[in-house]
Amino acid sequence: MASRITRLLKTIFLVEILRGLTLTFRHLFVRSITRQYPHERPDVAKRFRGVMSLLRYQDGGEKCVGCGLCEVACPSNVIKVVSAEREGTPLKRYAREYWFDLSRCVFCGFCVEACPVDALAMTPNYEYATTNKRDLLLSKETMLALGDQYFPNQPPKPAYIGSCESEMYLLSAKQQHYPTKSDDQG
Amino acid sequence: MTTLKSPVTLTIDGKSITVEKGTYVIDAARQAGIHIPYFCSHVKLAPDANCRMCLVEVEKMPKLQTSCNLPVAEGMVVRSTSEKAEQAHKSVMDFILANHPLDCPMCDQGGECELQDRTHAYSDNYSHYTEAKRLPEKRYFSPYIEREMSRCITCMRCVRYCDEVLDVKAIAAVNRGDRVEISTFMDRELDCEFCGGCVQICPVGAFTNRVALYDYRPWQLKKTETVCAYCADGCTLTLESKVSENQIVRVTSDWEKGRNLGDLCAKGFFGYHMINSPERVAAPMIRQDGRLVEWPWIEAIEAAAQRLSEIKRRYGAEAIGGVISARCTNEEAYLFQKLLRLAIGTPHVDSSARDGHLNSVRALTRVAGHGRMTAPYEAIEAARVVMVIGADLTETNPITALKVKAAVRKHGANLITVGPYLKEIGPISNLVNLSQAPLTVTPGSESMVVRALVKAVVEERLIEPSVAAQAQTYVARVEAAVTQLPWPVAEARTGLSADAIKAAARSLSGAERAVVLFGPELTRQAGGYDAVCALADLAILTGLYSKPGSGLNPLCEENNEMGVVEMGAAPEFLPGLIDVRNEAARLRLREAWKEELPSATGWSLTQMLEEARQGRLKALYLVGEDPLGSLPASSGVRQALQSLELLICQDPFLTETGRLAHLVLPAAGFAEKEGTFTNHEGRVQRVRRALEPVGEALPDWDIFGQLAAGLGHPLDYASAGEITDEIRRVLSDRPDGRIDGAVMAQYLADLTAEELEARYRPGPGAASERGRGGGSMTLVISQSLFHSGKLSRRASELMRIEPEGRLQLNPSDAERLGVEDGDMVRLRTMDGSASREAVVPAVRRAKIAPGFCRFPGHFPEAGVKELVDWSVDPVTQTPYFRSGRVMIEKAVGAAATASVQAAAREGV
Ligand code: SF4
Ligand code: SF4
Ligand code: SF4
Ligand code: SF4
Ligand code: SF4
Ligand code: FES
Repeated sequence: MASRITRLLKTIFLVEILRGLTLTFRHLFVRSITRQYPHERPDVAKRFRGVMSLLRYQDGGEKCVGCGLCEVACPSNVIKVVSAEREGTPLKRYAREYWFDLSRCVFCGFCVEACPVDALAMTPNYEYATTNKRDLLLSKETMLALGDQYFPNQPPKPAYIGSCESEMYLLSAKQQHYPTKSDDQG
Repeated sequence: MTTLKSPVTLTIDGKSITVEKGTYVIDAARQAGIHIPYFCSHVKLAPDANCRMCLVEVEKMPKLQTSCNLPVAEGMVVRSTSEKAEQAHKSVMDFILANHPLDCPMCDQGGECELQDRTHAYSDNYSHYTEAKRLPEKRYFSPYIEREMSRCITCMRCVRYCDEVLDVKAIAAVNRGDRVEISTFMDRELDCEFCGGCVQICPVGAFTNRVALYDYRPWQLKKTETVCAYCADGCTLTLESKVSENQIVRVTSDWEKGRNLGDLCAKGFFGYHMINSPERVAAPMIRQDGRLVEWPWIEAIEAAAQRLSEIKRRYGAEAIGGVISARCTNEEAYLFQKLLRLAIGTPHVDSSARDGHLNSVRALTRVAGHGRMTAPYEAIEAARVVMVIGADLTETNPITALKVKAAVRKHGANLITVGPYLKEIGPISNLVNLSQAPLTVTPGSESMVVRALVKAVVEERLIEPSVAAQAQTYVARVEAAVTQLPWPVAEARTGLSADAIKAAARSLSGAERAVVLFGPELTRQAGGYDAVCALADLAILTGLYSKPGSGLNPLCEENNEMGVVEMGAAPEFLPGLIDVRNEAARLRLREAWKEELPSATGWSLTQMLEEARQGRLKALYLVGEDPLGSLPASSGVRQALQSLELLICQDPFLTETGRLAHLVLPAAGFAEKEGTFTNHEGRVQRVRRALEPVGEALPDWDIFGQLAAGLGHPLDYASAGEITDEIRRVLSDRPDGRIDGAVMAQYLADLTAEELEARYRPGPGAASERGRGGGSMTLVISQSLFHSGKLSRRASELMRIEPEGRLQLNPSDAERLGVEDGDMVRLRTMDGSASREAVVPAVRRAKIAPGFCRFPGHFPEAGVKELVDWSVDPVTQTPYFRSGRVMIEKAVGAAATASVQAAAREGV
């Protein structure tokens, strides 16, 4: 019975609303947390998934070996890798072309996980709005530049002992003269 | 389940299974659906048991056993998943991976690698070895096949394949222990048949296809199983293409499928670039003011139809003729002859099978009712005696040659080769090497050898008893006929002793199962038809037609020679090899087609050219044919084509003839259409579409349909399959490859003594003496392993393997002429007072008999084809232009510069 009366009184004197307004009023004196983007920029988390980039080793060599695993791992058909043999180094595989259609990317990061040589990295860059959607098709050069910009300090190439990627191997291969593939001639 | 001859029951992993005695445990397990891991074992190869991956535990055997070479035994209990066995698999994997880089991301085998798969399934994720992996030095191997020895697991499959199956032995293992490498003799650049077999059979990425290097990942490729479009061996191959690029990326073949069971030759494996060749014609072209200009399809078809109707109105339908290439499908050949016979109303329809194959078909159809092989590949392999006559089989029909090799090497058959060939160890396998008593004959005398063999069979009383009993008149007539051929003449012409010929005849007729294969050096040389008739006599008398497992096998060159003739693209045959003069059969066909068809026998290809010259043939419709490029000028082909009022060329490429044409229609290639090919065994096999046609090209059958509609006589088919169905319906009562007993009985009864006498009368002289050229050497235009007709000239890789024609001669002849490999030689013939010559590079081949030389016919621009004799068979109208007598001398001066260029081109 008593509680019913209390509720009635509270309703009549708009107690709840006053309480709410008190909170609002108090916040007038608290520091604001709204960011004035683009004048103010947020710190993104370390593992933020932004625009994709391609990395280099310390000596400037491209990490990507053009294996196409990122292409097949991608769920939304973003990547196209055109692999080829590096001119003058028999069997050295690299991506002659690398295309990344940013407009389709869902930022799942599967390609990064798939890459066997850690050649891919997601930059913290999320500011890629553009008036020309063709700009969203990233070439290998663009992505390498992004990598250079965001992840400049890369480790040297591992030794890959016993592998076709080892320096010793690549050196001995360089001594060999192979005729170019005929489809490259024309 | 099929009944087994001697069943053996054993238990594998608790599963009881019954298999044939002699089966290996690993195969028995596979039949039971149990997978035992393996590397060195392979269906194509004898077990070698070197990799130890297939170890299993067998009860009552103290040690683990390799299941790939362990024959099953009654009551055997095998465990492949016991702890001991699994531990063994892990250790073997650890051993193999001790030196394996697991370079999968940059390895072309990745995604289809047996080692990669086994690593996932049988290996722990760590290695017991901490030592550095071996890294063999990189050394140049070949522009076609990439060798990466760090990935080799030394299973020896490649070496065994190249030896056991190919008999080439181009590669071997060198060094020992962890230094072992697969290499060529003295580590030279690989020079072999380039069959690609080692690439296909290598379980890892140690041998890969350098031509397709890094162009694909296996999962990106669309696979289309179809039939090779080069030779008549009829290999099943898998075209692997990238759909987005509409390009063939590589070719493979399934080890368990097709007539070839996975084996291919260089043309099949490396010859696919002709499909996406930049030289393809992309749009129809019409001649305007002397130039060919691109034209829309609809108007081109309209123009063709209108001009054909015009000629038909002015000169009658008989002024129109058509020739189709034997590279077209059965459906297209069938529709083409329908188009000409029904829509246009002319009997003049022929095909490129005229060039030799018609000799076999005409002769054998008379004898047995059809022109197919009577002993399929399986029978060749199982034969006790195999005779190969008139063909350098490895070069002309590489896969048929593999069957002969298997007969000799696996089953111990006795091989008799007949031809101007000697033994030779070289980069290309040589059947003569496998022959215990090869008959090395005077070039051009193959047909005389056949006659001498018949004589030997008759005289030595080697006639099959059943034949002797049933066909007495025939036998008596042959006996009488062969008396005209005295042994001294036969010996002088063939260069063989009578004893050698008799010995060959004896092994042929004495064999339980014997197979005779004959090829172009018999059917494409003057007198080809008579030679095949004589060969048929030999086959009848030695029982090749009556003994099970025996047979007489004609070899074809182009992939569908057998099919186009059977489809009626020949003036003398209606579909189903029905003689046009056979009234009753024609009426039956009329009923099926519900239409009248011309009753006259039409003109053959050679007759058409002659009639064109005479002005009686006004229009010629060529489908995939290039007479100007292939026939010698002495045949008068240019003149003939220039006299035409209308020349239509329908071809995937702009050929030499095409440049003269009034109308060029772009046709789709074999990878761009559906249909069927018939190989020389007579197997009808499906051709499937892998790519979209280049540019505006259309399949030939589609063009025929449109043209028929334009002529106001619709031949409507929605797909090639509909044509196949109609062919099946119309030909339901036609021979299926069995020998027609009634036809043979009729033949034996009808054959007159006069005809037989003419057949065995030695003519004015052997081909070598008959030749007009007047030189001392016999020249033969031959086929090369790396080329097929002129089609392969469009395949960039084949052109890299064999870029130019070289005159092959015996080293002793070369020495006499002072010629080294690559030197230019001048070939000369004297015809009356006119002298013709050609200058070509020479190459020494120990295989070529002295006094003989040959030049591959795929390089007509070298001018060698102008030196040979031209004649036409009186019976079958087959053009003969593949041999002659020439004088050879070393070329000096200007020609020597050319030789330097040739050496530079070779790039060694
Ligand atoms: S980025 Fe990595 S996964 Fe993609 S192709 Fe290059 S190496 Fe392969
Ligand atoms: S051979 Fe197989 S396991 Fe070895 S690197 Fe190539 S794909 Fe990987
Ligand atoms: S490609 Fe050459 S080495 Fe390889 S199996 Fe064939 S013939 Fe032998
Ligand atoms: S190259 Fe391949 S097939 Fe040959 S031994 Fe090595 S792993 Fe085996
Ligand atoms: S050319 Fe003949 S032997 Fe070679 S792959 Fe083709 S069908 Fe087979
Ligand atoms: S598969 Fe049996 S030992 Fe290699």
